[in-house]
Amino acid sequence: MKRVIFLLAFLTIFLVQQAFSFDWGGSVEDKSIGNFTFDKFSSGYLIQTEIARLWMSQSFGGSADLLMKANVADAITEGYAPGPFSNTPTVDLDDLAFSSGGLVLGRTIYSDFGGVLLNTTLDGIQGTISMQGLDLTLLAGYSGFVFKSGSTMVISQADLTDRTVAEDFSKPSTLFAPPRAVGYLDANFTKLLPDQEVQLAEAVQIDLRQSDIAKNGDSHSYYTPGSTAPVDMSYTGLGMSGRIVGPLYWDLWGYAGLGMSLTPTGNYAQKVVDTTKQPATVTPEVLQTWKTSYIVNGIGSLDFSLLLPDFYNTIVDLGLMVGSWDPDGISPDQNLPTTPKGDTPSLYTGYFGISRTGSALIFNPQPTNMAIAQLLYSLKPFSASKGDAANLQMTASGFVFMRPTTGAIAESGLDSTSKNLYLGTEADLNLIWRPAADWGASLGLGLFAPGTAMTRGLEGIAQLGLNLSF
Amino acid sequence: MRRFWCAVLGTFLCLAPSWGQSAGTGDDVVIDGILKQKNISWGNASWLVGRAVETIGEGLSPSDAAAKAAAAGWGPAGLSPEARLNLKSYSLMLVKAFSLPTGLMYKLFPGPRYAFRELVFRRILPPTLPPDGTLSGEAAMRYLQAVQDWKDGQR
Repeated sequence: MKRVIFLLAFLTIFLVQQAFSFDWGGSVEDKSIGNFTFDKFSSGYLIQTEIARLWMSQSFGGSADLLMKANVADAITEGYAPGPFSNTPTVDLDDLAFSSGGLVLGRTIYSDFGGVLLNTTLDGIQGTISMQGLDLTLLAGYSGFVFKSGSTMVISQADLTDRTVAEDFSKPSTLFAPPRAVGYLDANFTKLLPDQEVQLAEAVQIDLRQSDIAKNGDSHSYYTPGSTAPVDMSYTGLGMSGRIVGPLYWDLWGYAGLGMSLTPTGNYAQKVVDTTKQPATVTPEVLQTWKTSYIVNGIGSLDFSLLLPDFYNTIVDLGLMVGSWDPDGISPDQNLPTTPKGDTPSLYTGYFGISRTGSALIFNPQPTNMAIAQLLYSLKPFSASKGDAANLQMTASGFVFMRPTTGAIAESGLDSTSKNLYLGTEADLNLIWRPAADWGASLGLGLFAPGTAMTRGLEGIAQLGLNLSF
Repeated sequence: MRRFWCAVLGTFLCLAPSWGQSAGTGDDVVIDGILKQKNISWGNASWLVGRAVETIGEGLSPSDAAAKAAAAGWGPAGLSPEARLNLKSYSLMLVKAFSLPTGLMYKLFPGPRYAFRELVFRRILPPTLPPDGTLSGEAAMRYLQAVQDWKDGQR
């Protein structure tokens, strides 16, 4: 019977492949990253990563496609100073998506219109309906089947705790990202204003964990494993982008977030046994209580871009992104009350998105209590060349990091006693060269000069990448 | 030559519907037949590309062109002129006929698979098309024009 089933399965696959178009391919990539601190050489590190990717595509008569992408990676990290050496192998399924028309079903990247609030791999469905002057995009996804290494959703203290547990294939519970449901609706008005697009968006993220998560009224001890709270959020976004004049464009967007979490309130006291008295006295442990707390936060971004395709494919971009802050510098992933010993749950006002985002090569803070100004210049200096050099792209970026308030930031190395708002400046240079269809190379160089508000020293980074596809 | 083919493509795309009612001769008849093909044949593709790179002269039939193309290594020998050509096989024909620059994998395995990817990389073909997909006569002319444009840009 098994042989018959196997034969039938083989024949079905064979006939499907013959009837429709099947293609496959892959790539191997080597990435080397060297990070060094000028005044503290021993704090630098080297990361060598080998990545093998494989993809398969099945086209069903041009009207529907099935795409699968998977990768196997091995990252070896070693510090300059004697210390821990780490070797982290990972396996991930990047894409498994069936698409037809404007509908995509399965695993792929889910992203919002700004690309900052939501940009991660999920399993779900997304589709776009185009009407007269209006494109409606709807997506719904689930994060619980995505490997942790492939997810950029780190929101609550529970998520941070989960990240500290290494992926172990003998323990399936350690493999996957925390289960969350994500919904997103985007209305893009393309003809409301000449040369402009106006976008309205609503994004929702709900924590689906039932166990190991606190509920309103639960007692809490700092020493209880898994004492963490859910964080549920809803964001409303508005954006506008388009041509200002000639080759000058702009892009303005912002999100306001509202949400709920739980905060441990009350005084916590450890159990104390005083053996100096006879008989010994025991002061019982006093637990805290989880109470509902609320979140109000926001983020905004403004970019001006100059696009000159006829002049060495030049792109110049000047942008500013600002994320909201909390007067106490506390965010839900820390789960601390505004007044550490108070009974009133805190109102969290620091920005955090559904997924994490990145900016520069070295200094890469999440935009919480953060203003990031960026000037980018990209060009293909040899675009007029007839040879392979025409495919060299150079991008130079300058970043200035400021914090709007003297509160905490979502990055290490801040001097908590400093009142200085200026955090540092970074200059990055990226070269990408792809002379042929099947191989390419990239080089990234960066230098971060911290301000006096930071305890970090002058840092440099060099990244080299080689890619061969087959 | 490029202008000639531009004019041929433009004129035939505009006038093709009315040509069904009038009989033409020589190249006109062949081109008319190519434009009507939902899935271009090996003979017609050989004729089209052969005329563009001037390896075949006027008055030669698609069957003769197919024989010449096979001899030049543009496709497998022994293929019947009526055999249907898919996109990646047509890609191989274009890469070989126009001696397009190729990457490492094509040099190691010079077949339709990597010829198709070379054309996608040079933006001659859109990346969304399936390499095994069917190729109409009109699309074959369009991609032929795109190759000629790319070659002109390199000169």
